[in-house]
Amino acid sequence: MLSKKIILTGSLGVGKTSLFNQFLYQRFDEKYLTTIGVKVDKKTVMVNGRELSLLVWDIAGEIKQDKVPRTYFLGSSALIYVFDLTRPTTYSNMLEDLKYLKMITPGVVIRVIGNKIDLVDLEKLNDILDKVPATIDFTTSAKTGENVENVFFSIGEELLDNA
Amino acid sequence: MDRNPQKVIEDQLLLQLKDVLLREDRVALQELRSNLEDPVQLEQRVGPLIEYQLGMLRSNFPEAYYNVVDKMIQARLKVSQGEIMDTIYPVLGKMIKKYVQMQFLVLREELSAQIYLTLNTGLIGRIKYAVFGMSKRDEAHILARAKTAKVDEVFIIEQHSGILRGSASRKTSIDSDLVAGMLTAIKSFVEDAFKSGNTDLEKITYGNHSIHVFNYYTCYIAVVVSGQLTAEEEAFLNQRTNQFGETSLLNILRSKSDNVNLLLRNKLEKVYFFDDQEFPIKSRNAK
Ligand SMILES: Nc1nc2c(ncn2[C@@H]2O[C@H](COP(=O)(O)OP(=O)(O)O)[C@@H](O)[C@H]2O)c(=O)[nH]1
Ligand SMILES: [Mg+2]
Repeated sequence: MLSKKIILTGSLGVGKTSLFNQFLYQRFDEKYLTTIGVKVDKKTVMVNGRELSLLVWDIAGEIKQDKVPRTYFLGSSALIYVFDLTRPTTYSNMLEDLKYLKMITPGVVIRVIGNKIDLVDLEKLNDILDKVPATIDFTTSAKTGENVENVFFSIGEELLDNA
Repeated sequence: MDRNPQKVIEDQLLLQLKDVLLREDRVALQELRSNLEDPVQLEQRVGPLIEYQLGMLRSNFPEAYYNVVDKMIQARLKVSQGEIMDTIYPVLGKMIKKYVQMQFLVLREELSAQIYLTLNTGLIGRIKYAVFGMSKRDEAHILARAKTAKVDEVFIIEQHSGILRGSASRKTSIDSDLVAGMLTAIKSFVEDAFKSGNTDLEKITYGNHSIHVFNYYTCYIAVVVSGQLTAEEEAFLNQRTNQFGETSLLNILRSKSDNVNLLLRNKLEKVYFFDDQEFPIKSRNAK
């Protein structure tokens, strides 16, 4: 079976760990994340009748991406950049971050995710989306589970297409 | 102090004599002092001299200083072997360092085994045993010997991505994919946090277990061992792993087979589980 490494990244508190927990089984204690700054879990997805094993790395939040150990990004096939729809500081560095991430992981599939959609009024959403400097691929809620599976599914689809 | 009047007069005469004799020198001294105190003048006079001396030193260095430097190096070698080892290390490569360390360990173990034997067999040993029974230390020693170390699991893991390419296991542990991922994360963390040149993580020990990491370009091999390896056994494990890593492993990974996973497992079982029992890493078996 094909296996791929996926990295969840983005500022502190945007909901990476919550998304991870929403999607995966949580087989390792949370303490791994705080002690070594990363936790790995696996999920097998079926995409168009083909099985794909996703190894998802949740990394401890940093304010800026270049503070995250570079080695964590190496060897990843996809990258989920998460920001918090309710906090502008979590997307103000977005362009710079994405540029940096593309430079250190050339050719990876990237998804930009606006999380905590459950906290945003629909009228306000358009205002927020206007202010976000890059194109958003999904808006999700780790609380209700909205769109979470779809993020991983769309990544799986693209990875299998490329394979 | 001498208060003798005769002596006082003599002293005064002597002073006058000195004055007469040294007057010229005083003038010269004065001049010299003014030269010394004026940086411009000093520079003008001393500069060329220093240049000249430096030139001499440069052209005559080997002859003049060879012996001194040689002695210094010898002295330094004696006091700071570790430091020198560190300096030479990147140049000679870690294989050599490992080899040397291993040889030291083997030597040490042979020595302590020898000492142990001498102390515990023969008359002294028998008397000790008869009088005191078996000591705690003797017990511990014998127990440690009896508990042979063995390989429990072997993983072939892609560098960086942490994706498992193949594994063999004597017992079912948690999901090997997850072990491979977390191990790689820890490895990345350690290598990133303590980066100094091209240092790779080589061993993790926890309690009575150890994970031995062998790095290759695209993959690394992680061998999980339970029990304490003797230096000899560890050397054997290293040798056996490197032999596999540099030949079969690369061939299997390069083969376009759909069953890399299976091929690797079969091979790993042959390499590490060659004994029917609990595949101990006994060099005796393979020699
Ligand atoms: N309402 C709401 N809260 C969320 C959501 N995702 C995360 N949170 C909360 O945001 C906080 C930070 O989440 P966490 O997953 O630890 O963020 P991380 O630092 O990016 O891993 C926690 O208190 C979560 O409960 C979401 O989608 N909706
Ligand atoms: Mg987190």
